[in-house]
Amino acid sequence: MKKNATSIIILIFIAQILISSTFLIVKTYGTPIEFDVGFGTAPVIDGVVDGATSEWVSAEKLEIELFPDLSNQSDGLSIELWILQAEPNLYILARFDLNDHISSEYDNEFLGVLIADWDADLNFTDAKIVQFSNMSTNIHSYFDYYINDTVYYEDVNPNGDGAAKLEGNRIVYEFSMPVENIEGGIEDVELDHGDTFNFKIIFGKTAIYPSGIIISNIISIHLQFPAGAPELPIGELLMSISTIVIFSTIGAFYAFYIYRITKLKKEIERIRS
Amino acid sequence: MSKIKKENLKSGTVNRKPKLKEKSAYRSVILSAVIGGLLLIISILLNGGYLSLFASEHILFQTLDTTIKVLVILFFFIFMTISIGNYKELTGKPLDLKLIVIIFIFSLIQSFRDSIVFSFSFIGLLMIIVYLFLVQEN
Repeated sequence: MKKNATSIIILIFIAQILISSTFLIVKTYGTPIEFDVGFGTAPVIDGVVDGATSEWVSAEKLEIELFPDLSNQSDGLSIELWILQAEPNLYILARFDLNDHISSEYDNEFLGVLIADWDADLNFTDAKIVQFSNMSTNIHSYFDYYINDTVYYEDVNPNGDGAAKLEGNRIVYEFSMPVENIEGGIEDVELDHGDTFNFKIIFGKTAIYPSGIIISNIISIHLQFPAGAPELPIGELLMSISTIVIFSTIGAFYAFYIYRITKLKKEIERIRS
Repeated sequence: MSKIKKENLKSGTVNRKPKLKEKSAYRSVILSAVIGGLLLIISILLNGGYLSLFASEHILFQTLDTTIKVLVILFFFIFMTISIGNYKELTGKPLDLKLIVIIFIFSLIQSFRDSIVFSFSFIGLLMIIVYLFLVQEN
């Protein structure tokens, strides 16, 4: 009876450790909208969706809303968001309508994509922004920033591309950013195949970051491996195999030792006799 | 009459003492092995990369993460050494250097995925072995 009680207590203790440890992973803010990605041919980054060349046809399309306050999701601006992967880049398109979009109120409009590293949750450290300096004449620039403690620093070596175009009240923003680009250094988040990254879509009307951001939302994109590419890089594969082999060996020796303990009483009696 | 009784009582306590010692050593073998097993499970989850304690890249969390991983390995070594040491004692053999080296390798190899954890575990394990050696010498 006493033995049974001890076994049950030990089992409960093990189960408790395993269950409670899964809750130790730190989660902050809200849950981002999860987004798949489509594969296709690379579009031209010019702010125009060219139907003749079937641009963006195979992109994954979603409608999301940008909110002034992410914790209180009301009064959102509805935007179309298209995501496309075409080696070696990731392409993002945002399209939406605004009343009197041509008016001077929107002269310094911008739309940006902030990126957090795969293991950094919602700590956004990279920003790609298309900033208008004059909406009526369609003058805009693409900027690549590095974010440190909410301060935006322009990259020494900007990566990616961005463009926008207003037609009537509807505007189209297009971005491209390299995947598996190791030359970005610390200024850029290195996007990798097989990992999930959080992206924050930001919108504002004055060219000041981050105080100029008036609405935003967060999406989560899993970057897939291109067709035919190995799912795991060889280094990671070797590491996974080594981990399984090493811990299995230790586990096997441990199991053998436990087996020896169960025979210990008999062995002591044998030694005595 | 009373003399015989006293002798019987004396021989009874003398026999009971080694039995009691043996029982506590046996209990120590089992308990230390169970704790060692629990630490091994935690080490597989943490050092095997199957579970992240902290998602944050903040230096404080990273230091805490490394410290926990190193401590799990060091305590695994300590408890397994205690368990195997008592096991050997019960079978009448000493815990030789060969076995300590095997436990050392099995403990250290758990940290092979992370060079920082490996370095600190290596130093920690060496310190424990030196301590055990000094205690044994005394």
